[in-house]
Amino acid sequence: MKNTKVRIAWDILRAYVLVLMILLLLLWMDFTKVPQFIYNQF
Amino acid sequence: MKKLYSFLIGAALAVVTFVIYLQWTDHRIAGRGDNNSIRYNTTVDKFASHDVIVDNMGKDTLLVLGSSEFQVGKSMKQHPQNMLDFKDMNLMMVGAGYYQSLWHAIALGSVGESIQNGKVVLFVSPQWFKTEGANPDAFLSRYSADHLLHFLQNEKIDKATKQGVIDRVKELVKGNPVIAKEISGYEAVYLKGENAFLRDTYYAWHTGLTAYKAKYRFYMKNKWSKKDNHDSYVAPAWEELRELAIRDGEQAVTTNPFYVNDGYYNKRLKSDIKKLKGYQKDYNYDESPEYGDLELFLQVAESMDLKVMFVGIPFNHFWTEYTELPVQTQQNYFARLAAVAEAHDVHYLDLQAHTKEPYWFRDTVHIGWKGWLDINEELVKFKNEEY
Repeated sequence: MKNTKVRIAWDILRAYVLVLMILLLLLWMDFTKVPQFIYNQF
Repeated sequence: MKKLYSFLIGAALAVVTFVIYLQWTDHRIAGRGDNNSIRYNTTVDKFASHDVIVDNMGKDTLLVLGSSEFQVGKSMKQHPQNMLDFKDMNLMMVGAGYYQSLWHAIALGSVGESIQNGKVVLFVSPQWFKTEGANPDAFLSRYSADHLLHFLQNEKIDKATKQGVIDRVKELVKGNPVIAKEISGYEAVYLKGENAFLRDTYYAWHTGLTAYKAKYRFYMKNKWSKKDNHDSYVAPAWEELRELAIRDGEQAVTTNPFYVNDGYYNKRLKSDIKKLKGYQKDYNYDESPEYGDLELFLQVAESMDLKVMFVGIPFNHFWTEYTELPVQTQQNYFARLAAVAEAHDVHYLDLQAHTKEPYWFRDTVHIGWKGWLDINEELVKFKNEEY
């Protein structure tokens, strides 16, 4: 019984961390591959 | 089944945490600023954010759009950052190298409704009007989805102007499939009226998230003073300042006949000076897509009834004489700029008289000690309606 509860809690925690990581990654990752462009008057 | 339930519970908790995180950070950064250190900040992060610009424009803030002249020589006493640093006279500076008419048209459409005094200044540089016009890679590196979304959602701007801007943007970003696809999505929803459901759901959320990201990036990555400015503007003795500006210029320029500051000359020009002789002799500013972009900028300004001032940056004669930029090219360019200004009822600050004035420039193209004084004086007049 105790083992089952621990397993469920572990599954919830894993899902929590995984989904949160994916959401934060989607929030801050930049997929646009925009070139850096340095100013040069010549 | 138990595993699935556990996963769903974990995922739901993660979503709740994520939303709380967004609201917490948004609350932390909301209302920050309203001080001159943000107004005179010249980072890409500030320029890209609608909220940072809008939150920091008061009734005494003059919105000035331009390019590299804002970043170069910020330590000069005459730079507006140091001369117009008052609570009741300050500038919201937006622009750096390669920020040109099209970018400014979008940004103006994005923030224009929040200009409390109804005025905007555009610093127009001749270098924008090269035959090829805006550089696609440079435009891409400065592209702001936040401004484009706010621009497209501005109801004052007519559809034809928006379409003109979008067509031109698509032309410049076609080398980047991700951004090109994103813009086609915006066009379908906001201009072609496709999929109203998507517009009111996904794109409404996307607009909010894009604005949040742009604002967060600025406030978390950049430094600014937490102190509000309480000093009131007092008109300086401009003529006395001109004498001091000449002295500053004399100290900074000692090594060359082009009136280019020693640091710049030694680092950027000295080793190639022979190669640079005559390198502009075939330059031509007669035909450029930039003129069309400038028209778009003016259409955007007109649709919001904004009063526009052009600051026409002149050529440094001492340099262009050496690089052999044809006088006819220079004259044609200024004549065209003046004609555009007249056709659109723009207040045009013609600065050609200063082209041969020592210390007016600080290098080959950028405004210097005397130049900023002349321009600052005119900006104050424009803001105070002294025309």
